[in-house]
Parts: sequence; C-alpha cells; structure tokens
Amino acid sequence: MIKKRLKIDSIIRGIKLVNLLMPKYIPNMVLFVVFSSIPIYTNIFFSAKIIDEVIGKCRLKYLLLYLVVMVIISIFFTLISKFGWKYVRVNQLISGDWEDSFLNQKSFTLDYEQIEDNKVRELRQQITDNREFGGLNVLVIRTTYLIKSLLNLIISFAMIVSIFKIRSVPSCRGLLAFANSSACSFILFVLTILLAVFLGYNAQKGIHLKSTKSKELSTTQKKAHFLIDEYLSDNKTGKDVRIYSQEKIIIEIIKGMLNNYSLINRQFISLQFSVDNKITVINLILNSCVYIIVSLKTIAGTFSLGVMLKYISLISQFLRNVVNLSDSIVRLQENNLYLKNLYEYLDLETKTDKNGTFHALPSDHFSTLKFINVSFKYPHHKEFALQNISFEIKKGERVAIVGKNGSGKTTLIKLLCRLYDPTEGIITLNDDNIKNYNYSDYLNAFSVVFQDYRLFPLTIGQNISASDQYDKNRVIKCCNLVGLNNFIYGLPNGLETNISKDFDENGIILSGGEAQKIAIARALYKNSSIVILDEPTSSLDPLSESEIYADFNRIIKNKTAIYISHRLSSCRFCDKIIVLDKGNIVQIGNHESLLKDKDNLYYSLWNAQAQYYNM
Amino acid sequence: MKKRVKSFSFISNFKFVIKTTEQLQPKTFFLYFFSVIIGTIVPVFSIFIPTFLLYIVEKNYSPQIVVVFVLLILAISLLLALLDKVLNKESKTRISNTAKTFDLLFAKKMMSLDYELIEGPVGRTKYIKAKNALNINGVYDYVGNSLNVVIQLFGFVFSCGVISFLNPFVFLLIICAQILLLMVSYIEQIYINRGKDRRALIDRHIIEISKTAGDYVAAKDIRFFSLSKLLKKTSEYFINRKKEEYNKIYSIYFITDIASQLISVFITAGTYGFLFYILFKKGLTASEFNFYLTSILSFDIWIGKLVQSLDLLKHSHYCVSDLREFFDLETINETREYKTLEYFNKPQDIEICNLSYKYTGSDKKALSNINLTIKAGEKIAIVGLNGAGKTTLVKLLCNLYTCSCGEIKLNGININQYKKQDYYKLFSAVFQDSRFLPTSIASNISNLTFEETDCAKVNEVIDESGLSEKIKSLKNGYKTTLIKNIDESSTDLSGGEQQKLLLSRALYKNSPFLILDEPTASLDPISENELYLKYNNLAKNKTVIFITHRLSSTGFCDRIVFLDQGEIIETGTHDELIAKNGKYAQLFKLQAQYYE
Repeated sequence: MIKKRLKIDSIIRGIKLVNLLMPKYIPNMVLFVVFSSIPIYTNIFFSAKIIDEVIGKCRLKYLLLYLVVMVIISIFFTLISKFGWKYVRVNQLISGDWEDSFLNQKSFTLDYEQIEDNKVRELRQQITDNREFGGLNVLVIRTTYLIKSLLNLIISFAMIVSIFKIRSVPSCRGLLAFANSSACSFILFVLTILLAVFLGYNAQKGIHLKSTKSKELSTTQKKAHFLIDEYLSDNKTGKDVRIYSQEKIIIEIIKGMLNNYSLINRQFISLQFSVDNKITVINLILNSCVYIIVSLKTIAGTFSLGVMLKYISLISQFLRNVVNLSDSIVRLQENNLYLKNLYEYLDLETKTDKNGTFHALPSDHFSTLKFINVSFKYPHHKEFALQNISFEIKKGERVAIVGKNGSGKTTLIKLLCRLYDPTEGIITLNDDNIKNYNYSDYLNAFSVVFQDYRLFPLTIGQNISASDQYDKNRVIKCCNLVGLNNFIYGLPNGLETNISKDFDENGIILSGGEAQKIAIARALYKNSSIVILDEPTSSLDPLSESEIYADFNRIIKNKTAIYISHRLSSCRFCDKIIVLDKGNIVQIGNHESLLKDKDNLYYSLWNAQAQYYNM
Repeated sequence: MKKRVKSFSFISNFKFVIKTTEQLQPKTFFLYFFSVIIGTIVPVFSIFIPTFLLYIVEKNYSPQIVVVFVLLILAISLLLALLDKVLNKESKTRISNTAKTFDLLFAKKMMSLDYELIEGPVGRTKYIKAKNALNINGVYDYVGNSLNVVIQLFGFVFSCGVISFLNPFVFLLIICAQILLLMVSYIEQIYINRGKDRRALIDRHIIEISKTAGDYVAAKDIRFFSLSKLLKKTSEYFINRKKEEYNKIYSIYFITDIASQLISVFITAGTYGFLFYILFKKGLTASEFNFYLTSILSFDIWIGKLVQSLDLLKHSHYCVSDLREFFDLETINETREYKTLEYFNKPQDIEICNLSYKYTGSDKKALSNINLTIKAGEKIAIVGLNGAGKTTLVKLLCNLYTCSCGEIKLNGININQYKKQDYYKLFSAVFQDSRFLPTSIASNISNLTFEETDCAKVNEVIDESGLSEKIKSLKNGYKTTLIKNIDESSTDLSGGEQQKLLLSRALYKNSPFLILDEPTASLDPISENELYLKYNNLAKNKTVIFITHRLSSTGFCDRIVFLDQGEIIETGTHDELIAKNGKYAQLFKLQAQYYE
C-alpha cells in the first residue's frame, strides 16, 4: 500500500503561493474544469430522451425541443470553459518562469554561506530539474483534475444509481426475473462498488510504479545522451576527438549508456503493459456485467431503450473517472515530495536578516581594516582553510596577497567581504567588529572583481552600472579607463548592446578579455572605498594587462586596493605583500624586504617567474 | 522551409527510414502496420457496442442469447485490447532500439566529419537541425506517422461511404463544414507562426536571466553590486512581455476554438435534424438511428485525427530530411586517394609556405602570408596578443583546418595528400578548453577502452606528469571514473589536476609533435614553473609547438615566432629578438621591467 498521505496543509500553502504569483490562474482553472464537464452529461441525458421519443411517440415538437436545449446548453458551457482555458494555458506557460523568479528573489537574500552550501545548491537544482514531475504547476493541474474527476464521479454515479432501482414486472421468468430481482440489483451494486474500488486501488499502485519508473527513465536518458548532447555538441571537443582518435571509445561509451537506457526503457514498457492490462480487464468485465443486466432489464421492460443507452454511456464515464481520480490522488501524493523541497528552500533561515541594531557605515568613511587572529574552516570541512591570520590594512594602502593555488587567498577575500564569518578571531573595520555594521552598508564599501566574476544577460551599460537608469557619461568614463572605449564606439547600439547573441539578434559575443574589462569597469563605476581585484587579468594579454594595472593605480588614486595575482610583477609596487601558504601567513612586508629572505616562499615564487626575464 | 523539402520526397524518406530500421530489426514494418490497424479497430469497435446492444434488445432475443452476445462482445474486446497492447509494447521496444541505432549513426557521422566543417556555421546549423530531428516525434516516428495517415484515410473513406449511402447532399454539407474547420485552423497557424522567433528570443532571455541570477557563482557579484533589484525588474519585465505575447496567441486560439466548436455543434445538430427527417420519411429503429448518428459523428473524429496525423507526418518528414542532409555531408577521406604516411616515431620537418586563412563569413584574414619552417625536434613558441591568430595557426598545422591559400608540407609533401587520420597520429596536443569523457581515468588517458589500455604505460605517464599522487589518493586509482554529474561515484578533478591529466594523455599518445595551447593560464608561478620544466624534460625528442601570451614561459623554446594581426612579424631566438628591439622586445620589456 502506498504510505504517502495527501498533506492538505502543504497543498493549501502551494495554492496560496500560486495565487500570489498568478492570481487569475486557479479561478480560471476551476471554471474550465467544472464547465467543460457538464455538457457531457446533458448530452447523454438528452440523447436518451431523443431515442425514447424516436421509438415511442415520435413527436417532432419534442424531438426538436430536446435537440435545441441540448445544443444551447452545450454551446453555453463550452464557451465559458474555453474562456477559462485561455487563461489557464497562458499561465501554465509562464508558471515556471514566475517560480524561478520567485526562487531567485529568495536566493538573493540567502547568506552567501548557504549559497555555497552543496545541500542548498542541490535542493535548488532539484526544484528546477524536477519541475516537469512536480512543483507548483503540477499542484494546480492535479488539484483541479482531482476536483474534476470527483465532480464527474459524483454526477455519473448519481445518474447511474437508478439502475439499481427495482420495479417488479410479474410476467418475467428465469434470467429476466433474476435480472429484475432485488438480489441482482444488490449484487450488481456491491460488484460495481467493489470493482470500482479494486480498479482504483490497482490504478493507484500502477500509476505510482509507472511514474517512479518514468522519472528514472528520464534521468537515464539525459545521462545516456550526455556525450551526444554535450560532449560532441561542444565545438571545442572536436579537436580532441580527431587528434586523439576518440571515435572508438566514444562509441563504446555511448553504446554502454544507451544499452542501459534501453534496458530501463524496456522495463518501463513492460510495467506499463502490465498496469494497463489490469485496468483494461477490470474495466471490460465491469462494463459487460452492466451491459448484461441493463439489456435484460430493458427486455423485461423495466427500462426503455433510451435509458439503456444512457446507462451504457454512463457506466464507462463512471469507470473512467474512477481511474482519473486515482491518478490525481497518486500524483498529488507524489507532488508533496517536490513541494517539500520547494518549501524547504523558501524556509531557509538566514543570519543576516535577524533583527538587531547595526551601525551604519557611511560611504567614504574608511580608515583601517584589521584581521585579529582569524581562523576559518569551511562548513562541513575538517581542516582549517585559514589559520591565525593577523594583519592590518590602512586607508590608501596597496596590498597584494600572493601564494600558491589553494593557499587560501580567495578564502581570505571572502572573509573580508563578509561572505563568510570567521570561525575564530575577529575582523574589524574602523576598529569596530565588521559584524556590527549594516550588511548592505558594509558591502557598499567594497568594489570587487572576483576571479570567477559573472556578467549578466543585460545590456553593457546595465552590467557596468547595475541599474537601468544610469549615468551614461560616468559609464563611458569607466569604459575609457579600462580601454573599452573603441570597442563600445564600434557597436551600433553602444551601451545598449546586449552581451549575448542568444536572445538578442543585435547582441554581441564578448571575448574573454572584453568580458574581463567590463567586469573591471563595473567595479570602477561602483566607486567604493576599497577595491579588490582577484586575478582579474588572467585572460588578458600582457599589453592590456599592464595597461590596466598602470591605469588602475592612477584611477583609484588614494583608494585602498587589494590585489590577488599570480603575476608577481603586479605586486611589486604594493605597500604590503601578504604571503600565504597552506592557510597561514608566512611572510608580510614590502617587495624589497621580502625578497631579501632567500629561503622563503616569496623569493621562490618571484624567482619562478623572474628567472625568465633576467636571462 | 520549402527549400529543404525539395531534396527529399516522402517516398524516399520512407524508404530511407525503413531501410535503416529493417537492417537492424527485420519485420519491424509489419509490426508497425498491424499495430496501427489494431489500434484503429479498437476504438471503432467500442463506439459501436451500444448500437449493437440496442439492436439485440430491440430484436427481443431470449435472455440467454443476450448474455451470450454480451460475453462475445467481452471476449472480442478483451482479445482486441490485449492484441493492441502487445503490439504496442513490441513496437515501442522496437522504436526505442531504432532510436539507439540512429543515435549511434549520428554520433559516428559527427566524428567522421571534417573539423573545419563542423565548427563552421554551415555544418553547425545542419548538425543542430539533425540533433533536433532525433527527438520524440522526429525520425523514429516517421513510419508510425505515415501508417497512421493511411489508416485514418481508410476510416475517413468508410464514414464517407455510410453518409453518402444515406444522402449524398448531406455528405457534401458535412464536407463543406469540415473544410471550413480546416481553414480556421490554417488561419490560426498563420497568425501563430508570425511571432514565433520573437517569442523564442523572449523565452531564451528569461531562461538566461533566471539561470545567471540563480547561479551560485554569480551570487557574489549580485550581492556586491546590488543587482537583485535590477534582475528582478528585468525578469519580471520579460515574463510580462511573454505573457502579453501568449495572451495574444491564446486570444486567437480562443476565437478559432469557439469557431470550430460552433461548427461542430452545428454538424451535430444538423445530423440529428437530418436523421429526424429520415425518421419521419422512412422510419428508423433505435439501433438504426444510433448507428447512423455514431457513424456520422465519428466522421468528425476521423477528420480530426487525420489532420493531426498529417501534421505529425509533416513534422517528422522535415526531421528525416534534416537528418539525411546531415548524413549526406561529405566525410573526410571518402573520395580521394591518399599517400600513405608511415608512422615515424621520429620528428619530421614541417614547412609552411605562403599560408593564408580566412574564416567563413569573415572578411578579414585570420592569417596572411605565413612562411615558417619547423625543423624536426625544434621547440617553437608562438606568441602574440589576444586575437593574433595563434590558435588558428595551430589548427592549420594539425590539419584540423585546410588552408585556403598556400600550403603546409610534411617531409616536402603537402599535408592534404595524407589521410587525415594518419596525419593526426603525428600530433599530441594539450588544448586549454578540453573536456573529459565519463569513463575511467585510464581510458581518458589512453582514449581506448579499459581492456585495451596499457596500464603500465598509464602508470608511467601519470608519474611523469605528476598526477600519480592524486590517483593514489583515489579509492579505485586510475579506474576511477570522471564527471560526477553522470555518475554519483565519479570524481571531478581540480583545474591543476585536469592540466596534468591532459598532459598524461598527450604523453600516452607519444607522438613526434607536441602542441601546448596556453596550458598554464590558471596555475600559480611555482606549479607553472614545474610544468615548464616537465615539458622541457618530456619533450626531449619531440617537436614542440607552444602557444602562449606569457613571454616568460618561452624559456625552453629554441625559437620564438611572434604573431601580430595574423602575420609573423618577428622570428628568432629570444636573444635575437631582444637585440632586434622590435615589437617582441617591447612587450618583453613591458613585462620584465617589474622583475628587474
């Protein structure tokens, strides 16, 4: 038996959420569902009447009356239901977009720690990946279908119930008498109910099995097509395929994956086969029972031919809706699982929005920044990423942080930016713990170009200014500073150009260097007191790199700057160089003093590069 | 749209699909055929059951006979339903197998094509079209769709027969009404198709925004630049635009829907009215009345299905045409005779003469007038600013591109005269944008199946490339599979480890030419330096072509080729170029000044 329950509160919350995002969706859905069901029954009812009239008194007046009433009702209800359907279709198409936008707004407010948390990321991924199987849209569809099938079930049952009515016709003998007896009616009644329940139960179990399998099927399919859809579709891999003659191994892998997929597909097909067969057989048997009884009762004279026809149509309606109802219930039960994911994400608690009094941090109000015995462990990690870090940065200083890959440079920046809180020790700004500042004020004090910076599918101007109403001259000035001016002038739409061709025919595809320059321009536009550059020039050639560094020092004037770079040449003129190794500060000082110590890391880092220039 | 239909007719496409399918699974066609026939009979049978019941009741047969009749109906229904399900199951399995074959054929074809073709816009478009053609309702359903059309035509003709038997005039009226319905749906399609591209763009924009906004890497930028408001506003703007667009469309659907509903209600009413007329003229029994009613109204269903199937058929026809167009692209080495290239383990000379190259669709030359001789065993650095043509030159050297002007000679023979697959054997390459295969690390290194892989050699190369420590730390060693997305138990490697894996792969191949395309961009100075020393050591007997824009990393090279805007402007040893005091020297000084 399926243990999952229909959780009403979860359904109600989901429906409220949908109503908030798309107010017209649910009312129109209900309108559609209710109004589209009714004509089915009026049609059945009136065609029975017409048949009776045909074989009975055959009065034209009545025949036409029935026909006209039937047609008018049908037109009326269809019109209204189609009207609702229009809104339903539109809302179905955009429901995923609204949900995404809603989830993104939640993600904007999350602590960065949560954003990087694998669990949270997986949760979000699951919500998006599973949208076709479950979520808000499925909730709306299934709830309304539940209403629909329940409504249909009630109507068809109510109309059918008179089948069990007994009218004694004395002249009957044998089978006919039996068909007309109360015992038969009782047996038929019990049989109908039992078989309907059995049908519903079987349908539920089958549908549940089927949908579980179909999910497995679709994930295997995605994986099976990885090589075709992604690896081979990627232009760049074509070089490797040819140079390393990967043809054979790729075909082997694809074959293996596709075989796996067909195996599961075959299982799915046979499952479908057995489930469908059971439902069909039960359906047919119950139908035939009703056929026999109804025919016999008609022969005995209990029913007219029209009524007989009505019952025959109704019984198949009734059974269909038993299956539909089971289907809706199973889908709603399964959907709870997906809704749970959604709610879990929406209910994530953040530290930053907890109440408390925070100090305001006026812009341009920076004097010192201190790390005092700071140690840090990433959540769920055992080793310290940073240990016992202490240093000070004063206003106007240029500071470089150097070290090998994985020495903790970027982690240090993340702590500094309050993306993470230190595990031990404190960080102070103007001699006040940074935790005491208003979070957004604090973030405002920094302009950062991260190593893995992202640009957004907006126009160049919007990307640089982070706003849709920006100061054009200021944006252009920033572009000039990073050497983008010629590039921007060359574009027909200038700053209004989108940075992708995918969704805008007039957009452009940026090269790595151009994108990096835009990211730097964005940081300049922000004009904060502290500028942080985390390996910002890795994809630039030496010429642009040196231009940017030279300009940068000029542009930021008396601002504080923190650089992380593998190119030690860019650290040379810094006031202070912090050398990190395995999470510890091993050296601190200016270039000349650090270079004196030949046994230490800075010397070897420097030398690794400088040797080539001093040949 | 019309252009591509021209080249492949329905019949030739049908033959193509049947031939490909039959090769793998004979008799599939008959299976489809029966499946479609039974699939059509089942619903037809069931809609006439009530008529049949009316008939036997009307005739006042004895109750026993009625019971026997009903049981007979039950038996036939069961038989038909089961037959339908069995055939359906069988043909679904076959379709899934067919899909597999087509997928494999497609992948094979893709890999056998010329790189230049597949990277260029023409090949790319054909490739994408063909890939989409392999989706549901595409190529595999072609036969099923064609048969559906045929069967539905039969049903249609049958209904026509019943009606015209009753009264040809009524038949004409119904046909007219149906034509009206078709016209409505045709007009609808014209309107809907109009804004298709615009809607697709809006759609992609929305997806792109929500993808970047939800991306965990972008979260930092969103916080620091307070982008949340702008992103919310932009995405809401586009969602609302999408809503407006679809509102327009569904208003059209609404109107056409209503129109077709009205038409079919009038057909129903007309049918009733007509039957009343017959009733009063000739007299009808209940079962006759019901039979005519059901037949005439099922005409509607036939027509609807026929239109739908025709639509699907048209779609899958285009799909098959797209796929065939892709399959008809010329593969490399198909048509010409080639010089045999003996696989020398020794490096050989390469000579580039007057080479120029232009990308399709671009009017600027990416390379012009390149002359360069690379001696066996020489180590050459190709340096230059971004966009100077470094990568293009290497692609030409590898014969991934064919030069449009000028020639490249290996041992004095134009490389076009060698079989490409043979020529590729001469090269090992480390490209910066490589990806890995979802298989074992060993197979990723050898590019062979695990059984064919020489494990001793794998151990050797991972030692040389410095990857062995990482591999030892893995539970399954080099049997560990890559790419976590595909398999939970797989591993993903860090950037540095990936570089080392690529180097191992190049070493395993052990070709006379080694190409390194900016392999150290993301490494720290010490690891970078270590890697250079390794290259220097490992490449002793090989010709090395090294692309970089870090001038410092050219130390181990014998000669430097300086590219600027597609031209070689300077070549020579480092010292020569410095003495020359040209562009290279300038650039070098620019970097060196900080290291003095």
